[in-house]
Formats: sequence, structure tokens, C-alpha cells
Amino acid sequence: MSDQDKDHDHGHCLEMFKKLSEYIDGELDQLNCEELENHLSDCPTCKICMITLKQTVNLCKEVKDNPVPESFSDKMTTFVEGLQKVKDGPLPAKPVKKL
Amino acid sequence: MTASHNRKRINDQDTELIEAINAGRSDRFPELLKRYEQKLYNFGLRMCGDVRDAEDLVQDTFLNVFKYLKDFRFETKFKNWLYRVATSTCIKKRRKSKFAPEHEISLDDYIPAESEHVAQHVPDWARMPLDQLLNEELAAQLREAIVSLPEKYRLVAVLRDLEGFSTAETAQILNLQPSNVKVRLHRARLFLRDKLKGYFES
Repeated sequence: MSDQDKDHDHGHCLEMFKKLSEYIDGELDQLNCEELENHLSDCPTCKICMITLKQTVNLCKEVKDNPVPESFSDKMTTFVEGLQKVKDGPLPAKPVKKL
Repeated sequence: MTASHNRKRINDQDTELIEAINAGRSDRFPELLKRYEQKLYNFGLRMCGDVRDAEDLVQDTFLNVFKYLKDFRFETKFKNWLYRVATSTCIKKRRKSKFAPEHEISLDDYIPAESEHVAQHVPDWARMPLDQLLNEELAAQLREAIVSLPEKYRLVAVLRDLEGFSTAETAQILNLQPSNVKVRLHRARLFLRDKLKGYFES
């Protein structure tokens, strides 16, 4: 443990730790935000935790969509066109035919 | 006046199409499919981790949308209603499936211990620009980590951080309190961060 850690108020650390996601999302009120930012400026452990968590969130947001396979898209079009034909009759609880 | 009469009607880019379909133009239903097919397919992939299951989810969701669209009251964005249908379909499917039972994610598992030797520097991966960091291999690792989240955390993480819904919208889609969404999201993110740390440190 570093000297800094020895003097660290870990009870406060845990309270701040619970609020990191709300802080990243900009959902903390001003009072809590200032308290957390003060804590982060004094606590490298929590600061590193916040930065790595924020990077994780940013990476998730950057994950791109996969294209829909053309064959599946064609089957889905056929499927929903088939639904229209049975709209006047009772609809099945489950798909009539699995793709 | 009942509460339902007081609810504000929400118009969005899908309103005209849905009104047309509900007024008898069911021939326009495939337009809805084209608008949301890719989003739902990717939602299915993220939730199920399997192409076949994702395809089933898209099909079952559109079947349910076709059945229940006439009940849509424009009290929310259509997209949010669609994801509510998809989420409900997904949960029902998975209850019947072979997947592992749910387990809780404990905050205690991710809090740096008092006695723990903690790195005093931000790791390189957390400092790199996203466009230099996010390659196919990392995206695959991330997808795998998301699929390994217990379902109730995965739903929240996928809706919030991958599909881009707000806390309030996610709460509405999942019929949860916003405070519960926040708790689950924080735990899910800590879980994913841990997986990423493991990947970069290995």
C-alpha cells in the first residue's frame, strides 16, 4: 500500500465508487458532482477507476452494428408479406414457420 | 377524465406509417421491417450471442408487433415500444432456453480492496483514442463480454450503452425504476471493465 493509500478514507472512497457511472453519464446533481470531482483529484485509485470505466463505456458506444445477412432479410420480407395474407384470420401464437 | 386521456401523444418519424398500417394499409408493414430490421438483429445478437437466436428474435418480435400494433397508443416513441416488445420476447425465449441461470453481480467484487496493490497510472488502453483502439479483435472481445453478462444486467447495458437509450427510456422499456437501471448499469459496466482489463493485461 502506498503512503497515500494509508491515509486514504476508504469509506468515502466506496461511497464515491458507487456514483462513478452517474458521473460519467452526467446524471449527478451539482453537489454530488463537486464532491466526486474533489475526491477524484485526491484519490488516484478512484480516478484510474473512473477513467477505465469511462473508456469501457465509450468503447461500448463505438461498437458498430453488423449488417443483416441478405438471405435472412429476404426471408423476413417474405415472412411479413405472408402475415398480411392471414391478417383477416386468427394469427398463430407462434410463427407459422421458423426461418 | 381518466389518466389515459391526460397522457400526451408522442409523434415521431414512425407515426404516419403506423397510422397508415392501423388504418388498413397493412401492405406498408414491410416498411416497418426495413426501418428496424438491422437494429433488432443487432439487439438480438447482443442479447443472444448467436445468429440463429438473433434471427428468431427478429422474427418473433415482428410477429408480435404485427399482432399488437393496433394497441399502440402513441404514448411513447414507437422505437421504445418496439424494444419493449423485443425485450419481452427475448426474456420469454430465454426462460425456455438452455442458458445458464441468472446470478447477481456484486459491487464488492469490483471495489479496489484497501490492501490491494493498485496501479498508480492510467493504463495505456484507457488513454488511447477510440479509433486507434477499437479493432475487430477488441470488438469481438467486447461482444463476448457483453453476452457473458447475466441477462438482467446485459439488458440494461445493451439498451443504455449500445442501443443509446436514456436511463428514463430504459426504465420504461424494462418496466423498472430509473434507480434500478442505474444500479444495474454500474455493475454491468464494472463487469465489462474487468473483462477488458483482463484482455489488455493478458
